[in-house]
Amino acid sequence: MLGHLLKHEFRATGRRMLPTLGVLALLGVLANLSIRMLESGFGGTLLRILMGLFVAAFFIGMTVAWVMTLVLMISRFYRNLLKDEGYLMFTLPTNSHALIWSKLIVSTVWFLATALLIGLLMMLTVANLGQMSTDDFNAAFYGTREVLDMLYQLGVSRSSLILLLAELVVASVVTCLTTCLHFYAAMGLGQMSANHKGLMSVLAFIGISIAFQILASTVFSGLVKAGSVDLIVQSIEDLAQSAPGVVRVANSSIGSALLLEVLQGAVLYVITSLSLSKKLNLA
Amino acid sequence: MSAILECRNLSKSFGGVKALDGVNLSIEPGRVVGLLGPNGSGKTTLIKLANGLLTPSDGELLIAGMKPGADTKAIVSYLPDRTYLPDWMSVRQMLDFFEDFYADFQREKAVEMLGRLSIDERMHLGQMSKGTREKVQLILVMSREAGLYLLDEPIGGVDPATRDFILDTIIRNYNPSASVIISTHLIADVEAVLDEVIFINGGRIVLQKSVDEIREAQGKSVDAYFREVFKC
Amino acid sequence: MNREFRSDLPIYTQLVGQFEQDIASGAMPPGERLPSVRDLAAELGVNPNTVQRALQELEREGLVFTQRTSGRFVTEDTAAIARCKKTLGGRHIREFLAAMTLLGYQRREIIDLLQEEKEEES
Repeated sequence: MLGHLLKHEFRATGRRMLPTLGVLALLGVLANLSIRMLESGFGGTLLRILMGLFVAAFFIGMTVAWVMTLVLMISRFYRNLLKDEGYLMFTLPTNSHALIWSKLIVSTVWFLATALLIGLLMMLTVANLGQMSTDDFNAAFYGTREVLDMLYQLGVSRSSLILLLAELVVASVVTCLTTCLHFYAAMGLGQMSANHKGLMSVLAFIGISIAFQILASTVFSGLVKAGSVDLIVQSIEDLAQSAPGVVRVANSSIGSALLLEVLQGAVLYVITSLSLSKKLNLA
Repeated sequence: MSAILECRNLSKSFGGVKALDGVNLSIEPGRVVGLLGPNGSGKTTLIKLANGLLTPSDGELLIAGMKPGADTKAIVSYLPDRTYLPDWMSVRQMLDFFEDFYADFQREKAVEMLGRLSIDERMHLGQMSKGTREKVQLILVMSREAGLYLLDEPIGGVDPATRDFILDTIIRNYNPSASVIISTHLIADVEAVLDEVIFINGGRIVLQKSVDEIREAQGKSVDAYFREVFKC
Repeated sequence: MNREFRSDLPIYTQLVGQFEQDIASGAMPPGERLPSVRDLAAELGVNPNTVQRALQELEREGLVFTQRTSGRFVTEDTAAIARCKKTLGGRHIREFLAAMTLLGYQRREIIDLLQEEKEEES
């Protein structure tokens, strides 16, 4: 069932996201060509203005694509599950977990795809602006090698670096999931209201944010009182004396941030799932 | 024979207001049942509970012996009192959708009915009139070989030709192992296709009787009897 | 067949009446194959169980019979059809007589009136 839901969800979102990403990629290429030409002093005034507009459009386009992904994530959940289409979706022979996961996975894929595309285009632009040659690329590549070799010599293990990279990848996925779930949970709570579903969703969103802030600061002040923070700071200072220590500090701090994010996501998931299975209130 | 739908002391409240209050009823397979009551009597609430769109406040509701869930949704075909079809999809994409999700969906049957109404499969739902969308939805719902069809106000606000198409589809689709529940307040229009009726008012079941029984005992149509029971 | 039904009688009894009428009058000739229950129901716009019940009643009356594989047929027993016709005719006559009696006519007068009506027609 999840497979069919994913297929349908990609079909529904792809018709918006593929053109968006396509236009963005095109703008990126046009902007970069324009930068090249502008720098080489090519063309008359009118053409140069046009090329300048391409560059501006590219930067605006990146913001638009990002906002579009966010809006689509929210509107797919709201329109497809909580409005009239919900009568179809919630009577499919599946459960609310599959419905939530299909939305989560597809939104996360689009977030990562947008981020990846923007990342690539930005790298292209930076390389372009710096007028990097093939030699420069080689130099950058070998430079990275040298830094890595240096780290290895300082006793940093390869596995701890791979772990660091893996943590960063997982963290970005988890952040996407938790961000989506923050919106989903808010809408799940908001839809329980009889007449003000939209307004209540916004209030629920703010409420959830505040609740997590309060929770975080309570835990932190608890830790300060217990003297744990001093201990942690002390151990970080001790560890950070050596290069492998610094990497280990990075490993464990990203790891614990990840753990907190996962916990937060789990709480939001439970809120979403309960509000959709036990307290569904389609208009 | 075991009941396809059974309610035991079923209640549902919304913020203290009881929409259903201690409902007990049982529907056998092979029946076409009219769920009749004035607006706000609890018809839609009962149907939503049977579809798992709401959860009971008290008591229980069973479909073929199971609580509403993925297993019951696989055998229940539901026509809500609104259109749920996404504007951007074509009729053909909706057929794909139903084929993907419902093992009992008979695509040929749907295609045949669409042809009978000259509805083009390539049309997008957003391009259609409300009436045509309703017909597409009915065709999708009735093209399943379900065990229980729950039709919420299928003839409310449709033209006479559509009403006849709906009733004809219900009759042609009749299957001795499946039951159809039609909720409506327009009794005269559906009376001839019903086996039995359930009168509901204020969230309570007023009576459950066969149409023949009512006509025989009362010497009047169910419609006339309904007006008598619910006269205001 | 008629799609309109009276509201004060069960639909199946009205269906039985219509079938009896059609069989007695020969509109449905002996040995004719009946459409399936589903088709009849669709044609008449009534519940299939109602049609089923009406056909079972006709079967009980011996006006219709079922062949296990090929469906339902109007009986070929002409005597049974004649009996049915007579019953229906008798019912019409009794209703007619009752109505005339209510108007104050005597038996003799009724027969005379019928005789006059017949001469006018020819």
